Amino acid sequence: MKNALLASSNKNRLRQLLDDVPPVIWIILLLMVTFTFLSKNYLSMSNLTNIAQQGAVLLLVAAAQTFVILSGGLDLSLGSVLTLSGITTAIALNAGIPIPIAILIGLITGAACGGITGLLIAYANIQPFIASLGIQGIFYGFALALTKTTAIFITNRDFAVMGSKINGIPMAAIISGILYLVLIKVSTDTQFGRYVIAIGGNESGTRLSGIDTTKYKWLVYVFAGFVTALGGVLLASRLEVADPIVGVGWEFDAIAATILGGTTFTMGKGSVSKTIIGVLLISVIRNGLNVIGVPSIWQPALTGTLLIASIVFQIWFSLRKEARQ
Amino acid sequence: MSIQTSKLKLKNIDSRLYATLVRVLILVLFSVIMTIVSPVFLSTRNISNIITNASVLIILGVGETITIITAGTDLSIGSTLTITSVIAAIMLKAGINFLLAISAALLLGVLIGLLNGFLITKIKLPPFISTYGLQWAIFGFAYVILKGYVIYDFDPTFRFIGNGNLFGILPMPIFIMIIVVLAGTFLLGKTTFGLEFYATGANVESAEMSAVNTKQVTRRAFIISGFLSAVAGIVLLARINAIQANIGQPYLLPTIATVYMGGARPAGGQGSIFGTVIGALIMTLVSNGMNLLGVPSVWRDAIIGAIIIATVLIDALARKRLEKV
Amino acid sequence: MKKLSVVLVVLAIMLFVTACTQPVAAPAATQAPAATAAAPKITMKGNGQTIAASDFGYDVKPNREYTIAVVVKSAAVPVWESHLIAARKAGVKLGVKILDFSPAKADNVEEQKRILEDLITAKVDCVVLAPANTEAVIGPVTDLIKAGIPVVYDNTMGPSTVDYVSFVGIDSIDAGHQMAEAMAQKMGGEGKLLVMEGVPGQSTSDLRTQGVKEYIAEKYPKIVVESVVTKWMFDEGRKVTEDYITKWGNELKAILAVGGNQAEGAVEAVKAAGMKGVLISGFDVQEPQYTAVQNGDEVFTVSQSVYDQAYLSVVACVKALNGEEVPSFIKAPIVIVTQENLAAMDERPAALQNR
Repeated sequence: MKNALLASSNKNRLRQLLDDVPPVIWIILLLMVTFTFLSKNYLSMSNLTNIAQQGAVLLLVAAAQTFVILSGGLDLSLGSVLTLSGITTAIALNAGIPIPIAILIGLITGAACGGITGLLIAYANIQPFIASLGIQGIFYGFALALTKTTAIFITNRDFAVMGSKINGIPMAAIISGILYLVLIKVSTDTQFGRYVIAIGGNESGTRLSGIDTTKYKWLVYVFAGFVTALGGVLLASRLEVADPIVGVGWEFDAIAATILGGTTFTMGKGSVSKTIIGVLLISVIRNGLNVIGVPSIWQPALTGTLLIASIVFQIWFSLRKEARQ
Repeated sequence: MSIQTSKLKLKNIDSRLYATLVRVLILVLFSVIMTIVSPVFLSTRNISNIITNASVLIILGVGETITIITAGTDLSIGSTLTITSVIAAIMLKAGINFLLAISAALLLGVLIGLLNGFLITKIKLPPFISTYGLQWAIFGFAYVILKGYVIYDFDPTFRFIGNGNLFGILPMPIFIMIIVVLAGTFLLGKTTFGLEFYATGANVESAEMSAVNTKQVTRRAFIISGFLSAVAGIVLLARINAIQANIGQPYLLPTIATVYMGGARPAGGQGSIFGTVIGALIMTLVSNGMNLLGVPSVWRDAIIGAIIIATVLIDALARKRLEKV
Repeated sequence: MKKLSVVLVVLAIMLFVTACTQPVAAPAATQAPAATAAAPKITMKGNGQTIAASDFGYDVKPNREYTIAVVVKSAAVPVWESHLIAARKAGVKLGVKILDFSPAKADNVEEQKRILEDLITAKVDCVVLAPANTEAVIGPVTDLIKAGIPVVYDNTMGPSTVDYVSFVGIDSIDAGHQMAEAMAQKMGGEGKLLVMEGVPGQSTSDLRTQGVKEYIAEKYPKIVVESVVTKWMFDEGRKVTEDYITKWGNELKAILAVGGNQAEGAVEAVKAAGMKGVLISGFDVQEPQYTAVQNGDEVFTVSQSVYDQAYLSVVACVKALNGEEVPSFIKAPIVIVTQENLAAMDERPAALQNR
């Protein structure tokens, strides 16, 4: 009798474990095992820190996008904000402005961009899709004009430290990681974070309980712009140039990572803390395909298929979990 | 019918008419500005160019309008356009009869639409995600098939579709576009199919309660979108007489922009083909105008972005004013 | 569960079908380490001299089967496809393994950086690189060199401050001059000329455009030049030309493209407008340019000898890995291609297969 009970409780615990671990983690593990098998150079400290470095900037942009999606919106301009904030930082640095101030300028750029986008969406009531789509063209226009269409080389060598690996220590990954932890805290433990999620879950209800939903909706975009600018600064440091077209498509990667982390578009379900899983998957796929030598012509097809399969897996899994509860 | 509901109905019709009028006004305004600024604008050749260039955008837009009304944004139209024209191109160059090649392309478009429909209705992926993932994967496969090759110079009979003039005056792309627009308008406005699209888009539950098979309706919407993407692909292929793996990329965001400019809302249940056509004409007109004026390329995307936002803003303001009445 | 397996099976079939029609490159796992204590020294840096491509030589025997990674700027663009074909041919002829990489987003700096980082991990022997942006690759190239992996710049010049092996390519400003001269002659020294740039920010686009404009301004002041960005794309070329036909009408005498497939879009527009006698020139000798020159739609195109660029880049790599001396600049010839020498200068991927 006791054995049967023990066995079933073990089985339950296993099921509990399987339920709690986000499904995409299994895919990541499977991929990493496959890559290790296909290339003896894969599983090294150097490569693993590379993966972290390569995903560092996306982590911030994706977290920003997660905030916006949790609030019930969408921001397609994050790529352009990433680009523009890097550019203003670069211009400031090259003009001799000290690094902390230059970074501040970049962050203000991002927040300002987000502010404009937020105005259109929260106050002018334009749909997020079209508002952010339209505004990103304008932001890119500024990016191209400011750089005179070529990439700006950042002459300040000290600035590059933030984004590079010092003696094998992945600075960009560490900085990004710390910021990410702060962001998670913001989403769960601050009034701003809680309101954002409330608005995403039930906007009219939240408004009825007296919260100025319009203001908070606007703030989300400002915040997202600010966080993206953090990524923009980090990216400029990593690349040592500010390229006017560098951010193209990042907003979509950010959306993909958010979804892979379990956040959905309906009813603001999900959390910022899981987005890192999506970022990890994307980074692992990209790095792995390069290291094992898959020709670039194949990579979009493989990446796209893997991402769809992962998303399908993730959604199927969460639906099943819901059904069981 | 009570006085209240009839007043509401009148207001609804009025607001739609008002919104359409606003858009047409914007189009006329731009045309007037362009004529003043550049005397060659109003020449037959220029107008013909504008409408012909807008044709591909409009054909894509009709399909996109239907999916946005019904279920959500179809992000795969660019890739569908690409891969259907790639397949057609390969077949044409292999000497296969052009009618067969066209049929194959159209069939492929339908299949992709079916795949989208399946992913959205059976796997329950949100349309945004399903089409985005598919877009990546299909784009990847187009790459793999065509690599870096450009296929050029096709069978003149086939090319008539893109370059020929019907009855000596009406360019074929415009002719095809008119057929698509008329068919689409008829479908949406005068058939039960059309009503079902709007109903499903507005509220899935109430539609189901009115005995609408929303799953089938959704699948239909994406099949149409896939089909029309293929049509657009054929027209584009015939017109520029060449194909490259990235041919469909520049059409994705402008198409979605024009549909939203035309009055559709992401919540679904709203949108009109006429609005989309006007939106497409405005976009193409602005592009053309920028060429005639020699606007520096750096600012072009910015201007298009600004136009998009302005159009939607004006529309939102007009709507608000009407609500006050 | 059933639905999921259906989807996975469908996706697996998609992959399988495509895989069956194209072989995937073998993984880089099975190669010997790049440098051991007893191995000969690798030449990391060029000797500072310039040499013409024809003098450099196409033959070299590698000491072992090296693995060479070729990293270009964009995937799915014909001229880069030709590069890769030439590089692979070199690989086969010389007996080395060639891997190829490129950003999915054309000319994307961040993707190229990731590729180069991952190549260090993959421990390839040598890297042939066409940088999407000269400065942005300073970091990764420096790291490659620190890891003992020599770097050869192919087609587009990379950072000159590092110890690169060699630059194999043309002089872009010189190319601009030559194109301008050829076109100006055909124009009789006067008229309106539309210059189609490519992607601003790429040295090839910027330098060639600069070369054309400064040459015409100096030698043929009667020619009126306007330039426009057409991003190496057909559709842009066509649209822009249509608009310039509207704008200039019969005064549009000539159109010159500094690269890519833009001029062929112009050919279509000119034909559709029924205009005759417009002088159009393209760049590179790929399918569209070949057909256009053959049909007389273009008066000339320009060969930058992509075959030699890619091939000799591989040769340079092998020589460097062998420890031999390598010149720092291997000059690829610029050839104005007209109907007379068209067949000989064919650079289409299919033609390159047969070279």
